[in-house]
Amino acid sequence: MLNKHDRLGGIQYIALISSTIMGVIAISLPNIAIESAHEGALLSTLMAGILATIFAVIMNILGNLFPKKTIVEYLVTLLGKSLGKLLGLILIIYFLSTTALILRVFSDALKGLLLLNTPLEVIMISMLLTAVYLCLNGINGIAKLSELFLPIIILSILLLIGLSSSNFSFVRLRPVLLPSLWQSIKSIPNLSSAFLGYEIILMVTPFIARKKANIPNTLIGIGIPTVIYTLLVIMAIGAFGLKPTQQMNYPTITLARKINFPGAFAERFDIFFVLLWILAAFTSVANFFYMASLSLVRLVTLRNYQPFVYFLAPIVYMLAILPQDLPEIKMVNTYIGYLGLSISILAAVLLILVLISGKKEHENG
Amino acid sequence: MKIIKKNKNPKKLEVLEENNPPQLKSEEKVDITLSKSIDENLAKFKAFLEDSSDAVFREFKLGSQGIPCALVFIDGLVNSEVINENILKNLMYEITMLERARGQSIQAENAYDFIKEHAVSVGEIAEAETLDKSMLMVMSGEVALIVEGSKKILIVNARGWPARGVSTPDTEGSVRGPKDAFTETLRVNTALLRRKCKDPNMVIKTIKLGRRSKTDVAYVYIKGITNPKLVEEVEKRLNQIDVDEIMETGQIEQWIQDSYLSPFPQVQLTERPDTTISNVFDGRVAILVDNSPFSIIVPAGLYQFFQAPEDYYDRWIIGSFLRFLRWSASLLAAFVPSIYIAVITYHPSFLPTPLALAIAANRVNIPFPAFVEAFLMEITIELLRESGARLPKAIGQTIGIVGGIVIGDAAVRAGITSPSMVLLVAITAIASFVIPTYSAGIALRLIRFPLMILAAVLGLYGVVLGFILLNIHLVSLKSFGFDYMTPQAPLVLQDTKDWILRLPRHLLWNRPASVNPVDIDRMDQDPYKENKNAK
Amino acid sequence: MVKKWILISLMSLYIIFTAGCWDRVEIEKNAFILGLGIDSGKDDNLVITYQVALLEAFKGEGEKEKSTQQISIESDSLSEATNTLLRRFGNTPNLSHCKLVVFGEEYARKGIKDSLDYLFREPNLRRITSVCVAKGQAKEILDSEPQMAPSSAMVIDQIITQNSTNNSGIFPFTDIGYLHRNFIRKSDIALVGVKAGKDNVEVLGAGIFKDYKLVGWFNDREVTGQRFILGEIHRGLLTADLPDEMGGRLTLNAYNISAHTIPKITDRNIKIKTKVLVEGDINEVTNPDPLTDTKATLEYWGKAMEDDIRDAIETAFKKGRDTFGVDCFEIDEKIEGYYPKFWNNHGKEWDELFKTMDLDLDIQVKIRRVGLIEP
Repeated sequence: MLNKHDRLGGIQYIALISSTIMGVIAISLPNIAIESAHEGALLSTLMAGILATIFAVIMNILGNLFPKKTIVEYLVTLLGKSLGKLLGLILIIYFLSTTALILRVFSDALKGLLLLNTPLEVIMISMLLTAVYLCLNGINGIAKLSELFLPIIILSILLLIGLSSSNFSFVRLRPVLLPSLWQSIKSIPNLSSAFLGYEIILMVTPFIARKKANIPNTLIGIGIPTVIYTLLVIMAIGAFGLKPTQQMNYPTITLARKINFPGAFAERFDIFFVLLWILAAFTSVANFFYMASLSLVRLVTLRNYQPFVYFLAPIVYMLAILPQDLPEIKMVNTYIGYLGLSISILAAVLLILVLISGKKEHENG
Repeated sequence: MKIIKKNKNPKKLEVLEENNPPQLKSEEKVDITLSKSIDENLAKFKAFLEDSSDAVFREFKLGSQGIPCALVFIDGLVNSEVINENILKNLMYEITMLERARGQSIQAENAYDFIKEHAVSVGEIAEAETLDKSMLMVMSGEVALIVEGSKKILIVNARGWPARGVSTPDTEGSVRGPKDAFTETLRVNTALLRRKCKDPNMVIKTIKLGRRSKTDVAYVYIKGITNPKLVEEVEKRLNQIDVDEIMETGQIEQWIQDSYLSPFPQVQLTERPDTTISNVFDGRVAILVDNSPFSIIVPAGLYQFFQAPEDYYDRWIIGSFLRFLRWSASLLAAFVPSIYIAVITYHPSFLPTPLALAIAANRVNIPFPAFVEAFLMEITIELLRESGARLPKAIGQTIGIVGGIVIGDAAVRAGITSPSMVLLVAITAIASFVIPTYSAGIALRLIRFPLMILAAVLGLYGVVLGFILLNIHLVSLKSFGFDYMTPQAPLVLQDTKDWILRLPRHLLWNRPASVNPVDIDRMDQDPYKENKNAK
Repeated sequence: MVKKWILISLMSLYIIFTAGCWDRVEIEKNAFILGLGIDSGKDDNLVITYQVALLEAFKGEGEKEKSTQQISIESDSLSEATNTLLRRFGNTPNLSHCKLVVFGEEYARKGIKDSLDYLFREPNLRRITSVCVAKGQAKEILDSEPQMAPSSAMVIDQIITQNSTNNSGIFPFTDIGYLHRNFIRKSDIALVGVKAGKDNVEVLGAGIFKDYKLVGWFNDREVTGQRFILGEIHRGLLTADLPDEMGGRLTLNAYNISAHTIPKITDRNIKIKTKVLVEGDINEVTNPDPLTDTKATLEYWGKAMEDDIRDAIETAFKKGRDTFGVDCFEIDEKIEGYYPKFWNNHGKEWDELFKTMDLDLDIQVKIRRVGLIEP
């Protein structure tokens, strides 16, 4: 066609990574960080981000070695049919369960914050259907929407950070500035689940315009959430102190609640912030959901992914309503975090394998 | 010769013109070749036209030999002065003087050429060798001159039909800038464009569309700026149109747009020649249709509907302010009613306490839920707008007054609606009229209603869902294969200079990259810099 | 394309059929609670007073009528009282515009701990809702009808949030967020004191709490001193009493006050150092002497002001340390920030440690302008 943008550009690549990573977790991140790392919250958030960056770069290199395939396909090329397909299936399960988890956490939070009496199912299904609608538009639509929403999300979080600077006290932050290194490192696995989402690199490299899926772009894409998450942790601790933050379910929202919104028509910044946060949650849900359906269709080597979107939507819904209460959700979160980490490690192993065996796909082939 | 059968179906001509691709699917073959006999030729014309009262067949004898000739034309489409002075007078009177001066009489064999070369004192003539071509010319307002002994028909341009003069734009007013608008005559419109661009590279190609209406459709672009692929695509889509009649640019729009399931306009309609030509300079293609005072500009992005020509005529700060105002107004028009419903039925905590109490107090005796109230009021204002647009201007003002009193005062006093709702509806109505393009404004007004339903069901969460759905839809839209949401998604950084803000002229050195023109540079990059260096 | 529209119609059908509008409450069907008062009742019960806005009075036209109604309910707990409220009202109680929470003095002396959890947990209650303690019954505060404003709760909230920046005697920022932060850290607190007449309210000093039990009051001057230690003072009028021949009562309009408190620990000797810098203009002198030496007078006044501030701070600190034994200066937080290790080891003995603490003051007053006339 006429359009020169039939392949995704560099900015879209960045937006895809950032908006997939930044999602529901943004509102509870300081809590998670302090719960697992205490004084090391800040350092360990930063280190988890750096770890994620390393994995993302590995995935990027790996993806560029197979410029026309997604991981589901080159798993088969590299590891043989049976093992490759099995790992591909695990990948699909990971994407599916992450979609379900994000959806569930989002709906729970929204129910608690905004719609106290609305049934969870209604929130979940309306969100899921919207995600289905987006996924039917394909990777181009998803990338463009991420590109559209990412600035809004970043601006809203920066606005939150800027407005709550009056509640910020440097004294409260002092304890986390010199943490013990060991404690920080120990809690990285718990925190790394906050940065999950960069696996999207494994699936989207074939759609990116040549030379746009490069390492600088990856670094920017993952740098944005790392910086913003770190700032959020700093702000929450500076505004409340360590122990109070640990007791709050959604410290970021509480941060917003302390703000007196400068404006005549809206007083509560927290509601405003929650609304913009829905956008962040939505892009995460939709991106993961698209990856799930895309990886499934690539696994069964079909071309049209659209029927699979319809097929997978009820499954995601079923998975999302499975956990009964908050502890169960947290448990699922931990498992999925480990699964995500092992996928990252798998990518690293694959890269080593390729470099040893030299089985890379030729650019022209 | 085949007899033209008369039946109840209107006759169809088989068109064999080389430059006219839309083919008629003729059910009934008509012999379109012409003969040397004037009677036969006339009979063919009469077979089609004798029932029409405006068709004129003027038969006369030429010269001393009395060669039978005939003029065929449509009364009203021709300039009778030209016919009388430049055709009939020459042929009937002065030609005999010529014969006498030359001392030779015109014979039937060379009569046609003689007339063509010596007798018709009109600038633009043409020849037709087939019936359909000459018939088309006659129907377009030309005069067909049939001469005994010739297989050709001479087509003389004597067009002159009642036409509106160039007037000021009705729907796109402006404070600064040219005040001319397109008229219903294609030729006048193309002339308006030519006057603004003297570059010979500006191409105005004309094709005829419509099986029966044979409307002239012209598309305008500049060679060397416009992407040839875009021109190809425009030609392809125009040629796909195969309908009976084309009355208006709006019909063309509906045939060539990408998605018919969207309320948003995917081409830009304008009645201003300056808007049209500046878009052509940007590398877009303009489509003009005879009988329509509007031009279509393709491809269109959403941002174009927020641009008014004045943005470029005024200084950039003012232009940027107006742009920004329009974008905010569009958001207001689309989202404020739904946000209001959501806030006052779901999240009164969102409002500052005095405002919340004031709104609540105003609503104490209102019998309807906020959604019903808002819906009623929005519908009322749409009714007022529609009736105001349809009524003659003199009565239209009455509607304004009645509407103002009815919704502004009486409804509040009757306890049907609250003052805050009236205020809100008024603000959204005004905001929706700020958008310079009518079709974009109406699309925005339309999407209020589904958003209001979402707000009534799910509160602000519903509004955000609606916002997301709207954006998914906009992002998936294309106009002639170009992304609708440029330069925002996908981000085209160099185009953002002329988007929500209109940056100073010397920074706008590039044509919109999102249209992918052949020649992207509008001028030297940053001329100010070079001037400085020169000093 | 068509598939998309099938989806959209599916969505709209879903919305229409499931439309329960679960959370929908028309705005006029809300009973907006502007203030919440908590007193102690019989047998450990609570008496909860709700100040409910009467919407008719907020219409913006007509004579000012009674704009609020107070409803008192005796019950075990706050949530139960809110539940009871549903039985008294056609409208839905809405706490989202609650401006003020007042504890009655008697209840505060018994301890406010058991009603705090509700305040923290209730999602509608805003974190910037002001909290204060009444001199007398909380109900009296909410019952009073100030002349100039529709509701006593709104007035008190405005005094606490807005006027505290200009008046050094009003204890600032005692909102639910402040309570929550200190509750979790197990720190002691001070709350704004409020007194009410029939048609007026007044913010007076601060109530000092130990273990969430009211133990005593700070007066305005002590609150000023307290705010210097807290570092939460920016502007205000400061006064000093001088001998008549030196000017009588001196009022300084301090437009720029900066106060920083830093703890210092050597061995087990804890000291806090408060550094104060006040910039101000002379506002009023009760006994002016037009012909004095300007420079010397200003220096003398500055010194006198410094002494006065020092006295205010020391009075407040000594009263807090010796009389009440309550760290209402958030010094514990500063120690945690500057000496996290020390705090981890000794945080539990803080009450004892605080009593042994010393104050070190460094005060500077700079008189910048003298108004329109010479001193």
